[in-house]
Amino acid sequence: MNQEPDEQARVRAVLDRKPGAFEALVRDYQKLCWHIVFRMVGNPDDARDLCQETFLRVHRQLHQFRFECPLKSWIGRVAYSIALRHLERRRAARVISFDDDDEGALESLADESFDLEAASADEEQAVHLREAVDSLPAVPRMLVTLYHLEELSIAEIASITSMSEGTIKSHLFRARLSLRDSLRRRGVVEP
Amino acid sequence: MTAPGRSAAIAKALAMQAHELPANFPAEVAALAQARASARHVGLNDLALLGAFVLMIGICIAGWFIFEPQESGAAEWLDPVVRAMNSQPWLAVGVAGVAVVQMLTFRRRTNT
Repeated sequence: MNQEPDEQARVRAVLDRKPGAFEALVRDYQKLCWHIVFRMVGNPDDARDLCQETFLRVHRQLHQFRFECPLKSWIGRVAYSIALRHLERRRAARVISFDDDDEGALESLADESFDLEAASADEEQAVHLREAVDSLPAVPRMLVTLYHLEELSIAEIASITSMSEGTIKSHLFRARLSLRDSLRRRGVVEP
Repeated sequence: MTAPGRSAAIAKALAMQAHELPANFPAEVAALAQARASARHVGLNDLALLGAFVLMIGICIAGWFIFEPQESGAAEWLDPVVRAMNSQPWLAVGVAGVAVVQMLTFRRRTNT
């Protein structure tokens, strides 16, 4: 039970059907939902439909929320499971994740003298970096967004995705390596 | 394995891609959720009422055969059922119990 009292009040307000309560909840969590769903499915139209499905499910199942995790994580988990099921239905599993690899080696490789900040100093280089992120597989792309843009902790991301913290870190290191390689191919950073 | 460092460059690059949910998305989703909840609410209430009605009819029929003087030969087709209920009254109690639990479940769902 690590809930803020106002989070409990907010859930109670939605369950009591107080006017505007659910709309406010959607407004506060729509960005998180979008980042999870859009980064996974990659298509804005599908992402909009899936975000709508996410919040309809949240509304339908909110009475089952037991405050065992933050509401943000619970909503994120709903969004993640809906996006994952969508990808599996479209048989897009091959682009969901990285192949297995040695995690220890990854950490040392990713720490290699690769200066991402310098590599994206100007607008054009930032565009290259965004395109490189877009080319990542679905799950690492979503993890990178939650970690670097939403600034969620590894534990929060683990709660949303039900992955182990080690797996998430491994994906993040691997994503960084992939970004480095991608930027080198584009000539943004020195080989 | 330690956690990787956060990158302002990646965050900046990702932030360049606009958030693409329409401005009226929260209002639209809230209205749709409300409409679906109302439809669900009515459906469950209807089922609860139907269950209560069936239970009431069942109790009436059982009462009729338990308390009616056995003077006519009417409704012999129910005799095996009446005999079963008389010989094993826990069966009637069990069925009634299940019905009550179902009613309470429907009531809980319609109230949440």
